[in-house]
Amino acid sequence: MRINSPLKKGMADMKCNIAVASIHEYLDGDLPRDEIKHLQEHLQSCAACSTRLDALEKTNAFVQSLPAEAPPSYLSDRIMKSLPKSRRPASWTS
Amino acid sequence: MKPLETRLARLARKGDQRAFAEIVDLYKDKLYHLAYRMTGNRQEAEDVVQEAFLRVYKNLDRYDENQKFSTWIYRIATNLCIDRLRKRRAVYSLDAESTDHDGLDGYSMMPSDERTPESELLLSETQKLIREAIATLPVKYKSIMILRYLQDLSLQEISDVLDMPVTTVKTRVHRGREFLRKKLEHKL
Repeated sequence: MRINSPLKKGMADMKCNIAVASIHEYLDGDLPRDEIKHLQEHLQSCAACSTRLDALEKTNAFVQSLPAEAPPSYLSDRIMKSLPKSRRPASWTS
Repeated sequence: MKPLETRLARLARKGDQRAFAEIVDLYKDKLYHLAYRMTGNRQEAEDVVQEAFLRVYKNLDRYDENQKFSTWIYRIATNLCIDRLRKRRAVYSLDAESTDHDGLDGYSMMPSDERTPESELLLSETQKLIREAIATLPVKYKSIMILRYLQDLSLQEISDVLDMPVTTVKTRVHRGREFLRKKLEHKL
């Protein structure tokens, strides 16, 4: 017996797979405002998706916080020295 | 007026080495950061950056000024990194079978360098975990996640750099995020 079919819970109810797709759109900054509302409603009643969003936001923040690795100071020199002496060997003869 | 890089590129094209040195100065840190995270190895990162600038220099005539200079230089550097990782993978996957699922099996088998400069001793445990998680990303997600989160490129810019539809970039960002979440969730 499927009394608790999702449809019976009303229009606002969202399936988790759709919610997860929305979560990613949201994190991309691409989720339209009305769909954000929809998602919020789902998150209020679904601990799993809510936890998922938290974890993804945390992951993003952590990855972004990774400090840049600086190149060694000699790298610019090494690059400039590796360039061919003249870009156009023919040009100075003309 | 054209952006600074475009003007520098024009000068460099005419043989002005100082203009090219400025381009190197503007991009070396970004490209090194990109290459180091992609390859996980300092020596390789240096080689990639050097090779990238050499290619830029040799191909200045072919630079299309309608395109952002950054897109062009990122494309060259990213492709060099991807090539290296692919070659590395080919060497390591001698045991056939891995007929390019082109995805989650393709860990980039990194011979990460074990050198630990003093600065790294101070690196927090958290940062180590994040670096490791990024290192284990399959190549096709790795490049996209690094461009997105470490170089702060927009989805559209990444699509231009990698010459693939934005929809594909998006899907990969989503999967890359999930991959990292799973790797980090119970550790952080």
